[in-house]
Amino acid sequence: MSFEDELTRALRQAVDDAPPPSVEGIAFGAHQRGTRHKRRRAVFAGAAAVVLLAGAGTLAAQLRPAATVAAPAAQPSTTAPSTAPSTEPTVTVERMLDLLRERLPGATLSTPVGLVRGGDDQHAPVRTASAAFTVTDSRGSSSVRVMVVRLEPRNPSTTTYCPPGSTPTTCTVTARPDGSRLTAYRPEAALGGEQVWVVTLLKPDGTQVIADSGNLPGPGSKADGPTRDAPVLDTPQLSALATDPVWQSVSDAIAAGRTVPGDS
Amino acid sequence: MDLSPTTRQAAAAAAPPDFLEFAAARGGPLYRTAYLLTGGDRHLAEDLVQEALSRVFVRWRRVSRLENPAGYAQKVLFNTFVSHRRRRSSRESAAHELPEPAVLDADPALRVTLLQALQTLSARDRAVVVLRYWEDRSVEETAAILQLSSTAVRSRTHRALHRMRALLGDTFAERAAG
Repeated sequence: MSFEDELTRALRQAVDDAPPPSVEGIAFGAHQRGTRHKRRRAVFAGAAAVVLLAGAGTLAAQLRPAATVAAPAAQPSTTAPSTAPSTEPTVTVERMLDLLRERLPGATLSTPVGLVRGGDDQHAPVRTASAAFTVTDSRGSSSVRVMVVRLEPRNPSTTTYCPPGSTPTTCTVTARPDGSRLTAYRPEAALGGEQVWVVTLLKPDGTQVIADSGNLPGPGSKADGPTRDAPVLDTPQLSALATDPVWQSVSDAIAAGRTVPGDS
Repeated sequence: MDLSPTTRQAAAAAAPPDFLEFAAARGGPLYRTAYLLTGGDRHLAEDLVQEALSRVFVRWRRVSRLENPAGYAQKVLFNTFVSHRRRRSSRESAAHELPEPAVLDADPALRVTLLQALQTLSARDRAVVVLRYWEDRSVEETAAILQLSSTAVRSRTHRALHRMRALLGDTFAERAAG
């Protein structure tokens, strides 16, 4: 059974196992909420000028710089890991995009996509932050993404990220002096020519950093398929990106709950 | 939400006669979709369906004359999910009642692992996965519902599958082996 078929089956099973909804409550709640929407529309229609002024004020407030620590200096690159900032930054979508942008010096970047998920530690939430860009050069467009996930502490040697069917040629695992393990997966191109290379770093403290690059442009592109023969970053470059110390500071911020959830 | 008998009677009296019937009939299917979209958060899923149906209610006079009001409601559901970031972010913690990501656990519960894997996707990518692999929609249908280009849907599908495969591949393999 293909992965897609397995996924479909798992989704159906998850829905089958879902707790039943209160359909009647949903229907009446929708009516009540819809009624409020109608009233609000009527009020807004009668006070358009006031709303415009208020909206302008809100927008101005939103555009103010967030009260977060400034991003670190833009000195590191994918081949020269940086030093983690000594301050305690808050992780936001914008900050994640900035950090990745700084690690792709000189690249032509477009279609930024960021995601920050967090929450309280009490319920052990999924805590992750990611950033991605489309990188365009003379050979075409490619995607580059980094994703930081904070898991519970664990022994990295007990975990494998090499998928079933991979070989030592396509997937390598490197034990690092700090106890972390670095997995580089470089599968053959798919039938349509798509290629995504991925490097995963797992540290004993539960920090997981996934860096990947594909030969497809990111969302927003008009390209209908791969535009390069290979991703813009190879696995050594992805390894340098994944092991950049700055992601540890992101992981620590996620663990400490210093996140502003959002996506773009 | 006040759901006392008096309130319900008042609502039934005030609502167009067939809206409540429509909402009750479509609430279940929309909830199941919303359950996946919200990464398994029952309360957020119900809230999402309520919000989507409330938007349908606002336009019910026109929507009720459409050839496929159910399809319209579903499109509203997806668009509400994708666009309503503030609400989603403010309620995100509810989804975290699930245990810690089981993607690396030795004995993962498939449902929890799957739902948590969905949570790691962006809203649009999650919507694409749900449409393509749960609702079995074509690329073109998915593109129309999400107001994306077919290329964007293919790209997002590719990325999302890549991510899901990384998070679920071992789980599926273990299940197949077991």
